[in-house]
Amino acid sequence: MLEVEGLSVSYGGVAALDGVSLRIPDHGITAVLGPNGAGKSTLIRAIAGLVRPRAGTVSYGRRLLTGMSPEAIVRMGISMVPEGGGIIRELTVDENLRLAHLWRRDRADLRKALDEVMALFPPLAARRHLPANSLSGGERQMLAVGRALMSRPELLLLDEPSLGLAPKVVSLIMRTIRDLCAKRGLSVLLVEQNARSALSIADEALLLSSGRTVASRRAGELAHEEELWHAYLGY
Amino acid sequence: MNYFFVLTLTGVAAGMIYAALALALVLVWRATRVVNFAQGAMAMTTTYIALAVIQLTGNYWFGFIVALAAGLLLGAVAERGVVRWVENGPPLNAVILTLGLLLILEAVVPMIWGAQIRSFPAPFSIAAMQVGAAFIPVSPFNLFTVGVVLLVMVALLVLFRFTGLGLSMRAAAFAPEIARLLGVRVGRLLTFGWGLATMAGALAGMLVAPTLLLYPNNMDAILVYGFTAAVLGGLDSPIGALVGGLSMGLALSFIGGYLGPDLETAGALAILIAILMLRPQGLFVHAAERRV
Amino acid sequence: MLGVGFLLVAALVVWAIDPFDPFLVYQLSSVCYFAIGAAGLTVLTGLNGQLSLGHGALMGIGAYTTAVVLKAHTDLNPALVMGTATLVTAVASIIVGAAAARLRGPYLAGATLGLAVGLPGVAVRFSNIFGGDAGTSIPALVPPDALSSIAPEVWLTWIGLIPTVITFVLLANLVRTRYGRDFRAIREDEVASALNGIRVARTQVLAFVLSGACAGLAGSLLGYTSNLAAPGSFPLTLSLLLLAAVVIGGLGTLPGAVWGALVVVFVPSWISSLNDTVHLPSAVRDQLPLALFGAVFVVAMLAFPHGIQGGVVRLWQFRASRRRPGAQEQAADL
Repeated sequence: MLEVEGLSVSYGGVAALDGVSLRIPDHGITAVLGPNGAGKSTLIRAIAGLVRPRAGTVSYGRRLLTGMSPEAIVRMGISMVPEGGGIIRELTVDENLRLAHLWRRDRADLRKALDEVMALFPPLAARRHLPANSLSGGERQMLAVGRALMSRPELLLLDEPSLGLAPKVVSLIMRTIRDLCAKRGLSVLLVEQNARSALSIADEALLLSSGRTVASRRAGELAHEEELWHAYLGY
Repeated sequence: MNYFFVLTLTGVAAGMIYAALALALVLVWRATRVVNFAQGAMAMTTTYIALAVIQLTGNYWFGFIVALAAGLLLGAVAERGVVRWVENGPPLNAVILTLGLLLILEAVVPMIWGAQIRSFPAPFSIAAMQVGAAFIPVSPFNLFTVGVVLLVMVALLVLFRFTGLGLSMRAAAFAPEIARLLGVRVGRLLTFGWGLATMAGALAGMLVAPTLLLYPNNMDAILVYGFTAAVLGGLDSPIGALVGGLSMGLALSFIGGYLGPDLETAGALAILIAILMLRPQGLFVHAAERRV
Repeated sequence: MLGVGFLLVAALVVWAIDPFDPFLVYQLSSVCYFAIGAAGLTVLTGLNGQLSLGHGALMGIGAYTTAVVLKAHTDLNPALVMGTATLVTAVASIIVGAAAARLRGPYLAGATLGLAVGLPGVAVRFSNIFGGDAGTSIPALVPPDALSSIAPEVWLTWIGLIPTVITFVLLANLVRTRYGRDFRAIREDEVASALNGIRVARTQVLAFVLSGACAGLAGSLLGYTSNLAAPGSFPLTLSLLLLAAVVIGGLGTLPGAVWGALVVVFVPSWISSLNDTVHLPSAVRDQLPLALFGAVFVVAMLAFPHGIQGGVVRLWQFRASRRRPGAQEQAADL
């Protein structure tokens, strides 16, 4: 269980996140929705340890994550896929994947983890020794998700995985996330502007606007609240 | 013996030394996007330490090992102690900081060991070798220089290409934030990178001293040559540092041989300016690899 | 205003000179050329944001020009000699500045470092003109017959103050003109400056030439002070000392350049005099000033991690903002 309590983050005096609280259960998908600049990315970056909150806490199980470095948070079993995937273009596909497993120092498991990712995303197997630079947009996102899985996380943080991808690829990614969640017992925090896709797979949903929580519902309920949709998501 | 041939051979030997210092600058640049203007002064310092150890133990190789170890330590301490705080600041700050380190080292070393010029032992003869009746203008020490720098290059290549540590170091250099998200302890690797770089610099210092002697600013000119070599190689590429170093060694050997030895540094300056004007990003960096 | 202030200070200094302390007089001449050089470097580094590690070598050009001119015309008016040295160095700076305008950050620093290390070798190579390693002597300035009661050292300081004051008055006025604003605009944001119609490259070259001219004048005065132009007088350390004067002065203010010059000249002798009470080994005593200036570089960069220009101003802003909760990040982002 990941618990966020009264989290506030500000950049240069401007509040990006203002007292947001959130619980992510150990199984299932939690979607965080909201318009541009609502503070969605800030929330996910604060959980991953990339930005320091001004107030509030993040805890995972019984451990306090606030103040921990990103590399320590990964070791707690929390992996983040940054916006745009964040693949390292100068490295090959294989190197990108290996990199995420190195801290476990377990060569036998490395091979196993690699095989699992290749089975999950067959296009990556064909391009395994090519520079990550040469991948298409969809393949990059596969690499990004696959790479996050290499560290065998319990909680996966996804920042806008559908950004800039064709609808077909988006639904493939969403389906994969759903399957992973079901088969491996992962819990997922999914930050999305593409609310429809996100709600189609999410269990719980949180709606953010201007750094504050506007609504927190079962995903199925939020999908039917037309007023909220019009007010905050524009359609 | 053909004069041109002589200059070529001496140029290669000198070029390997410039390559070692260029390699140090490249490793530091890759890790932290800082040009370490104190690299020469650090190498001078570790060479003084080596001299003290050699005089104490009477064994060159003790001094050699201690110099490399001292380089590892000095670089790591410099990064963790002071450079860490300017790594993400304006480039001007990092430059002035490393110049401060240069001044401190070039002042503290003569406080301890005096400012006079000292001779430095070589593990092998620095006299030209005799083959049959002919002298060839290469000393056993020259051969040692070429061999040991090549060895270091190969070792680094293996480290970067084939080990997890090397992969982490490359990732930390290319995309530090992403690397941290993947569990790479970037801070430690930057410290290690500086240590490794300063070790390469220490090697350059050990190779310079037997022929050019040891005094507190004996590496100033070598720093300029090494920097030029590193820029020639793109500042980002260890192979580029080797090619750049060799090119500089040859060019300076010809300039010194044909125009006069006092023009070597001025020649290096002219080459540096010419490269920077033609390709400000260096010759060995592919356009695609450049980051904004 | 600034000019009048400088004149008053200068007059005071001249009054205060003890003509019977030749060492103090010599030091004041040194302050003059360090102040001129540091003022030029302040305009380049502090105002325009270009770093030069080669200004010591440019001072060398000024000193050698002085020596060569005086060798041909021994009795030439010092004003003409200094003018020639300034002009020649300014012309040389056009070449360096044109190269520098294309370079940024560590590349610029490395190129000018090459200048500092490489240029003295040229003087050694062409020893028939420049006198090789031993250098060329420069005849001492002698007061005219009417003022023959004044000691030559004191006269030198008098003469040295004149170009110093002129330099500071000219620079102080210049930084207030459009050029001064353009220098600062480029330092802050090159792209925005270009969009605002500033010719970035040309303005950067101008800043370099201006600052190089100051270095030439300073070098000429250094030549008159030490009566010698020799390769050993213009080591890399001289360039670093100039930079130290600029950094100590707070980077970017002309009065700061004077403070910096005073510190750079007087701290070493203060440390020497300290030796009367604390007995330091001579090796330590000789090197202590350089180590201190190096430490100043390090500490200044650690204290002002967000940019050294106006670091003091930012320090005050930061301290003020700490009293308001939540404003810390704001200060840190400046």
